[in-house]
Amino acid sequence: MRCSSSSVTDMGDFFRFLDGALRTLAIEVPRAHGEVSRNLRGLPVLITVDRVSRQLEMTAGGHDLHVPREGEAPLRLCTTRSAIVDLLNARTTLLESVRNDHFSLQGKTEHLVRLEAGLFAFVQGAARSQQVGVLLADYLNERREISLDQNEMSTLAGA
Amino acid sequence: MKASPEMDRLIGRAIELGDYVRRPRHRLADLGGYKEWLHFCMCSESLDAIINFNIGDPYADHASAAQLTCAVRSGGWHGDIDEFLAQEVSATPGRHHVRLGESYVRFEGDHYRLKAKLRRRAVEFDLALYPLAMPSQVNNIRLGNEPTLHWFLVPRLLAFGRVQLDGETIELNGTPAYHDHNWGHFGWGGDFAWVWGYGHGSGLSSPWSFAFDRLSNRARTADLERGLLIWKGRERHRLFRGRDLTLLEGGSLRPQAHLCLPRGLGLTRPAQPSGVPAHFSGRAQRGQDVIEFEFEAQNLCQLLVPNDDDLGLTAINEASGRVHLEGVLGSEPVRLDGHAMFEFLGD
Repeated sequence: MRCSSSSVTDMGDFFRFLDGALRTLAIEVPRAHGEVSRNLRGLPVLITVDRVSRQLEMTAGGHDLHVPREGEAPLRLCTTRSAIVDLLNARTTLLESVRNDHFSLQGKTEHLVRLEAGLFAFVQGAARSQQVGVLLADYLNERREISLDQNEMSTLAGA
Repeated sequence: MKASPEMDRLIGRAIELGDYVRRPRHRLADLGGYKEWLHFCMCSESLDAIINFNIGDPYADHASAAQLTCAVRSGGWHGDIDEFLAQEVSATPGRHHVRLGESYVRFEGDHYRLKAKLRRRAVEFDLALYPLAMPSQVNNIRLGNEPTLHWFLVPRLLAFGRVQLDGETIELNGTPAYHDHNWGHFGWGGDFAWVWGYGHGSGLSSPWSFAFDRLSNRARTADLERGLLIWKGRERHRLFRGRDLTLLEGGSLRPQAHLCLPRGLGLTRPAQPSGVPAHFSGRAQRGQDVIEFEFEAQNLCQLLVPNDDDLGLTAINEASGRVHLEGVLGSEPVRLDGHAMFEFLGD
């Protein structure tokens, strides 16, 4: 799956969740937030979920999520809400999801290793925070399922 | 097993005296990490079930006040972990009753009444569990450098009632079951690991039951305690401890399907679970008494618990399978073929 970063300006639901979750982790599980920061500091990640893209940068003061600018992210992650739901419900594994083109990761190997470590620290922190659970439930319940099939993905990728 | 009203009354009394809620009313100033749970499980060729009422630390800073874990293997695995806020939890010290939302377990003089219903999954238990054997209690179990844990167990019960699973109803009419209750102060992720297990002979014609435990350091290179307790009928019959027991693990369990809860945390784990042996055997000998057992693991449910002092996880691996136990106690031959569930704690 190729995944271009569209420049949609509205804040997508996923990014509201991500923004809230990172802020919450900084307060409730600072060790997890610190691990996310340690792994991703200086490594901007372009995240696209359901065609909405934001660039995540871990900063000294916390994090910054902003509309992406062309060509500045060494790491790119592209997926859909339905793929995230499948992962959280263990209907698939991360590996299967990547193989089936529902979860695309692009970047140098050493950067991908850092992304995985940061992602796992995020999940470990989320498991220790009730508030992140509430934010996740809000995200999962707020929007109807958007399911992109492969053709739509290809169309998107070529857009 | 022969009917014995007097023994049944004693068993009920032992449960009343031992299986009550301990949950502290006040937090000890320098001790966090209070843990307490009531655990029920069943295992057979066609059905495994795990129901855990975890009433934990009422004063924990960030965790939910309590969790209900339900996992069932019937065909495939089903289950989930529900979390509860303090106002949804009723677990009064000294009482034999725990309520988490709509779900509850209580002891009613001669049986446990258990109702458990998951919120997001169609899994529901409505059970009456009758104890068939005298409970045992192990106090002040040291987990490495941690304070102590206590373990109350009823090795053999019969479960009656029903399990509802995605619209299917499974009737239970005397299904063998096990129950234990643990409490104490310790932190998950500390320098300890354990294996415990139980097994029954198939059918009531087999009087033999056993419970096993092994406590070690986390790397499993040094054992802190080993024990094998054998029941004959309703009574405790023989205890082997420490150096009486030698143990052997073999292979690595590769179940066709396994359940990992909570599912979200499974993201951080390899698709194939590791650290669970395919075979686990032991030999206990003291004087002329000898018992050998062999457990062959078949099915696996993995419960992931966040460590208290680091970002890691502790995996509580519930493996069910077939067990064979054989030996001589006194001059009496012992033989047990049936099902067992072993729990392997690991990273």
